[in-house]
Amino acid sequence: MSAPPRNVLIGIETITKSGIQNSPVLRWALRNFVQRGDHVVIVHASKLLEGDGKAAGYTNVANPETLKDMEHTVETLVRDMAINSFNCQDIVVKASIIKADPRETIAKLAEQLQAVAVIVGRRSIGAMKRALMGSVSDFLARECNSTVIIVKAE
Amino acid sequence: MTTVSAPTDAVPATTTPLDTVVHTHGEGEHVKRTMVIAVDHSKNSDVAFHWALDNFLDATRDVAVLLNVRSVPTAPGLVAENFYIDFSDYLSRIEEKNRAESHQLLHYYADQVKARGIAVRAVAMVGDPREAILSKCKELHADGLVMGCRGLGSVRRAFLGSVSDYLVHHIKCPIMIIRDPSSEGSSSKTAKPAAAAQKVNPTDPATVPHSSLVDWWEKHSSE
Repeated sequence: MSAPPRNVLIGIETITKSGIQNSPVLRWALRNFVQRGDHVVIVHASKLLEGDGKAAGYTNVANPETLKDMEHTVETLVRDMAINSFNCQDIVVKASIIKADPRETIAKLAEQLQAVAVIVGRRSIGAMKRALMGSVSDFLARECNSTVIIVKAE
Repeated sequence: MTTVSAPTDAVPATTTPLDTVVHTHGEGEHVKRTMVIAVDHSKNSDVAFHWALDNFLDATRDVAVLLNVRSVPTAPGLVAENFYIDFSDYLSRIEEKNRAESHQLLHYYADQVKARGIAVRAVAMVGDPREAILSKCKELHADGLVMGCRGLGSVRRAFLGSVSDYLVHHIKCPIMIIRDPSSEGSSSKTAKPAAAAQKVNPTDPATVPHSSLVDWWEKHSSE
């Protein structure tokens, strides 16, 4: 097949090992959407990276090298998940951990990558909180120019 | 709303609103995923359908359930004080026409799905698209819903309401909103929903719009 590889953008909420392995978004995407030869780009964008950094074992997250290490860890994790649990072949995994507002980051990244789809989860926060805080999945469903897939946690 | 589950290609001779299974093909034991695709006559829905067909539907494990929800035709009965016009004739004629178009649209899309060897079921519904799609997905235990989006700006969306917004909030299964990238203007507040106005009519390229009340009245008052 000479078709160019599809870029699949997946937004995840947590970058801890168990968080990733149990992430409903990732599991759905790998089981149902990702095909051979896809480029899977995992994005974790959060304004407060310190909390996650501690959980991953790093204390100073502002250091770009540390970020790169964390990204490598995520990439390996997802690659293993894909091959072992979900039988996805020939995929390229790239992780990006960015300290910024998730909504605009993911929207911009989707446009840059010309992603075939943006897959995000939906936090089960109440309607009140969602109205106040705003929700990444809501924002993307409205504003993002590519296909948006919203996977709910069961 | 009751569900007529007997698969039939013939258009049933009834004007009462029922969920009609218009077409069904190829559902066997291999089916593991039920994907509901909401279609209507808009271009955005056409884009969404083709996206799903090209990028997502898998012949080895999917059944595509095509869903078209048409609205109930309405007309004012009481036009002015003491002046009542009985529109039931007009209404039933409009409903017949809507039903025929709905079934035609569903057949059109179902044939394309069949051509790819994917199991398909096409259902015609009447009523409010939001609730109809939500209830159907619940009833079928859908594994996913695919739909287009009108690309309304925030002001329009607040006034007109958005089917995709409502479903994103209320649906329990994964939902895919497909946008038509060519029709997306960045200043969506001023851009008219031009894409939504382009209709996809399978047989008649020059789409005939539904007669307005005034036209109908003029046409019939001259007979």
